[in-house]
Amino acid sequence: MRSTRTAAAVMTLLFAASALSACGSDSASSASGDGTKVYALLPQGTDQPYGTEYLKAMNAEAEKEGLDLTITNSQYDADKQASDCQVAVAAKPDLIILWPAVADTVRPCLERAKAAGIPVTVTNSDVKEEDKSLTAGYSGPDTYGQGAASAEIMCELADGKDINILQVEGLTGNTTAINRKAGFEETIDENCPNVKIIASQPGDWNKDDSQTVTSEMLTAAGAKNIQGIYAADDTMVAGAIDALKSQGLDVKKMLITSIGNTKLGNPLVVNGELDGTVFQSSAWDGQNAVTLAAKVLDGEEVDEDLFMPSVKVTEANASDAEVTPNW
Amino acid sequence: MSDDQSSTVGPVVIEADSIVKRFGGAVALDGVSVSVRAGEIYALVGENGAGKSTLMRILAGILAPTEGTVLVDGRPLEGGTRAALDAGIALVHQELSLVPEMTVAENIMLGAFPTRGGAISRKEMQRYAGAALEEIGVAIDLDEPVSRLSVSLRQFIEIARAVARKPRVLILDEPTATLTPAETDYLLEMLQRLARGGLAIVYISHRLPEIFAICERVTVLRDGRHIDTADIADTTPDVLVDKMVGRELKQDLGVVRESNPGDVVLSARGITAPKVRGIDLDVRAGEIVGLGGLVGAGRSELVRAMLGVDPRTGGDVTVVVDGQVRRVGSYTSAVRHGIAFVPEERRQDGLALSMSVSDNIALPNRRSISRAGVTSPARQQAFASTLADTVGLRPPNVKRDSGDYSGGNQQKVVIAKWLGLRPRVIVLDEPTRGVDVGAKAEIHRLVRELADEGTAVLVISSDLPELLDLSDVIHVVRDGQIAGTLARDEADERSVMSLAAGESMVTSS
Amino acid sequence: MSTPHGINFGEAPARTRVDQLRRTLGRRTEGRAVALLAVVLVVALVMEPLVFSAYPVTLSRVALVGLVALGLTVVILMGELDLSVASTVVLAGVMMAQTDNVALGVLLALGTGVAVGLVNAFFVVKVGINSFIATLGMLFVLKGLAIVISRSEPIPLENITFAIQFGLPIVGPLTPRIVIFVLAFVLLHLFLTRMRAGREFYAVGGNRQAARDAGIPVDRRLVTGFVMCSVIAAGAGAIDTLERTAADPTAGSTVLLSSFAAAIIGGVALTGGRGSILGTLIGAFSLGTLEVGLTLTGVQVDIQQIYIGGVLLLAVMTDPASLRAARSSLRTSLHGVRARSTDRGLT
Repeated sequence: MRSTRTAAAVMTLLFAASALSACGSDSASSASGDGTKVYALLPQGTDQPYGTEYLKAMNAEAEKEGLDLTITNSQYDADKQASDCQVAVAAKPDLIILWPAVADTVRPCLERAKAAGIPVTVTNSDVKEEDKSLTAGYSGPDTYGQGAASAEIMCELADGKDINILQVEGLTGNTTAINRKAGFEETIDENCPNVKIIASQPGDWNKDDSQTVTSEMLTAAGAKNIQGIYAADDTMVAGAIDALKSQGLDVKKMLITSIGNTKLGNPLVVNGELDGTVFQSSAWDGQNAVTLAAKVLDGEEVDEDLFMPSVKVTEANASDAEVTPNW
Repeated sequence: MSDDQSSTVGPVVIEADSIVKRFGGAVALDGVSVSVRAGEIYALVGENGAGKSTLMRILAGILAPTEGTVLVDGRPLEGGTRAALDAGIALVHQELSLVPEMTVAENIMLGAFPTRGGAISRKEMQRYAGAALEEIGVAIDLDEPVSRLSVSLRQFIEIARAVARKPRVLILDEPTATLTPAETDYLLEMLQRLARGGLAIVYISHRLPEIFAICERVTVLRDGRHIDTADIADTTPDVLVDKMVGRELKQDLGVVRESNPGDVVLSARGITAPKVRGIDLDVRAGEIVGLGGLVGAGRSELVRAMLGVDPRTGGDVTVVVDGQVRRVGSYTSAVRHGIAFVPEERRQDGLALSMSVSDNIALPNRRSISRAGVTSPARQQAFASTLADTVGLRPPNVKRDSGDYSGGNQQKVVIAKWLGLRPRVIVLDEPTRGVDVGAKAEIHRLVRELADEGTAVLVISSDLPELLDLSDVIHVVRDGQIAGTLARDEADERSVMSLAAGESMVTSS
Repeated sequence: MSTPHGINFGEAPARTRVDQLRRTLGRRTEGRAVALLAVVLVVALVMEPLVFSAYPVTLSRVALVGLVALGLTVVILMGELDLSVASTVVLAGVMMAQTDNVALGVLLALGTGVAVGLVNAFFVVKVGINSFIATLGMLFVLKGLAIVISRSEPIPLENITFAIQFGLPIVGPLTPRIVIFVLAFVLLHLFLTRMRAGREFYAVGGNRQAARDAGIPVDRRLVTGFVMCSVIAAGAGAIDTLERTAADPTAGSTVLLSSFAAAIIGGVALTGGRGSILGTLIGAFSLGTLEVGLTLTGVQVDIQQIYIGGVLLLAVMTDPASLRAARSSLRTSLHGVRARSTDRGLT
């Protein structure tokens, strides 16, 4: 009796929920043009601002390309993503798009897919160097190029004058942080040796930490000797700007650059506090994940990484439609 | 209880020597000595709170005595429950201590699961448990989970568990409280049989007929003191009752109140609830109505359902407020209409022990002590002090935590907090359980004064002398129904008990 | 059979086989879990048959959720909670990655489990802190430790070839994880049903005072239970770390809730004393199959959570005890409403 009742109730619930999810994932699964099946293993989705925009663009492009796209979200749990990967391989799709939750842990997934003969393209953040041979291509931000672009803005602003700047890095050991740092430092060395990075500390992608380390560096180097700051993303630059303000420095006179052009960073550029940033477009990211997948499916040999153009955003173009922040 | 039976009594098995037990400042036992011989059924009697249960727990190793020793075969017993079990002391609790989700067999063998090669041997377990049940002559399916059995059956399983350990001493605490008369008769017979087999049995009960039916010797405890030990053959129930109650208190209780009941204030019709099967009840202004009956008869359930504390399945309750009839649908409406309820479990339901007396008294009285919604500490304290005085709180320090007071004083605080509302009706469930003699007399005085002032009083009490003494009229509840109603002049211990228990058990004395 | 009001003072009546079967079934706590599993399987069969053709995947998902849940069940049966299991999984993984030797690493991980279990038990048994609070504290402490020790970065295992090998099937579709899971299930099941100490866990959870009175060493049982739970969680951590070829201090965020969910769906009562390892296994199967089915059909994670929450609530609501409570509270409130309205009528 009780079991029957339970069973009936579960049935109802499952069907109701499947109706619900059918509406919800409409755009995701209905685009089954030629029946080309693609799994996208993402670590975020509608639960994050970046992922929300990314998904929209991804689904739209999938529809255009006629791909039957199934999307998973592991919420940055590497184990969950590994399991999602197993599920995906078992479903035998024509291709898997992978956005690694933790780059160190995707090797088994790549091996599994390879054993099953399923090509894997990587999106947003690349796998480790030694795993690249197992993938069919990468699309996403050129993290080195982003650092370089931010450095170029800095050089232009310095305009040949000798200045001293501080650097706020991303999370220690994080691939993106390492690449952005290398891109920035090497470009400064090459293009404008007149700009000197006299101190550098990690701000861990986090506004509070960034504010703290900036204050420390200002104190250590002497606030008077500093003419500029570079932070590896918009969130951290906001913290750095707060630190400058709290020391009574005129932010508008300082040369400040970062990377992101997010909904946090863009207004800072518009109001002149932030002199320049580099656009990382989640829409481009999502769209090109599918574009790259389609190329691989068409049998195209993709030798080079498909990099997001590192568009510079300064006061001159900050309000343009092409660089409207989308996350 | 014939002569040849007492001749089978052997040497002393267990002996308590000058046991003193203190809980914090309170003395629960004050130099009590008993010794029980093999083959003997030994009765411990005394009023609630006399120290019977404490003594029993000390004998079973659950509590360690503050002073004195327990000797088993002349050797001191040390090392808690485990040592007591190993020494062959088995205890049957008043509160059932079975694991509801386990089977009958598992409960009987609890703590002593037979194993073979590390694994539980079900066959052995069934055999031992079956043998224990056979020994007490009760047939129960061994694989049935205990949660599905009636309370009386569970009581027998507890006894089977004790017997399964092949004990030398068996201690039973009010084992018949939940049993029907037929079951009680069976249990008593069974105990006599076990004693004939050489078992020493300590029997705790407030039912004197049972004690006179099966016991050889009796020790009376009062307020933690050893009052007397006598051969049953040399004493009578009256003598025992006198010793249990104490002369002076008996006289004190003997005050007969001039009762002058007015109109019906509280009226209940057709109350049904779990364990309550259709009860009508009226309480008049200035009248003290007593509810008698055995534990588990449904008295507490009745008043809780009446007042809306627990849900009722049927029936209506009304209270007359300034000449208007109001319905009592929920406990909130009961309180609003001036009904005060002093529950049985005051630690659980009636008092916040970590709060001061003053705060506790203030709880239901916020309206009378606050102006424009603001309470001043000074006003609250003055208010609380007055009420504490009225109930005779000792020491009268309302700033102290309620938990620091003794049981009797805690009960006074619960009563005090309701007095502030000047209730029309006050319902007291076991108002003096666990309360010392002095406080008990004061609570009685208070209840009488309330009635004299015109409050309608409903009292539940398992303490027969108290019930007889306080009540103008006694309704005896049995099995969820009113078994009979006795006016003050028709009520005595015997008439109440015979109604409470049904006929069969009182005849045995 | 004995009647509810009265005692049979004679021979137990003979039972038919049907009686016996009915009673045995009636005693089981897994009924709801079985019903749920049946429904999930039927729905999966209709909507996504791939769940079955890809059963090795389903199995390994079940093992992922289930192993921690098995250990947790032991603690819950004793009427306690262990919220620190997920952090134990993570910390054990990080500890394992501290050495290049896999065998030594596994020992380190399990040792971590023993230590965590002892600390949990110390707080609960000796200090007397409620296990919810004690293990909640440990949840944060252990997670923090894992992050500090790993410097908040994934630590790749040295012996990556072995680690990858470990993720592959050894017999048929069975990966080492599945084999270990099945082994753990069988051992725990035997322990809780056949061994004296295990069976006494039920008494500790069902009526602790009775257990003490019967001379059961309750404290020792509690310590054993907490250590078993933590060691199993640590084992799961070691397996996870091997399978993903790196220790990840941020992993396992979804483990805690799904392992509790598996146990609850399996009919294990949080109040202790009721439930079984078999129930948890079935619960883990329901949950794992559901998750794999939903992932295969591409249902977004947010909506998956609605399903899982729904199933969990259903499992709890259809518990006979909850049904009774709901009925009586409904009756009381209805009664109250009726009384209040008549109240006004009379005024």
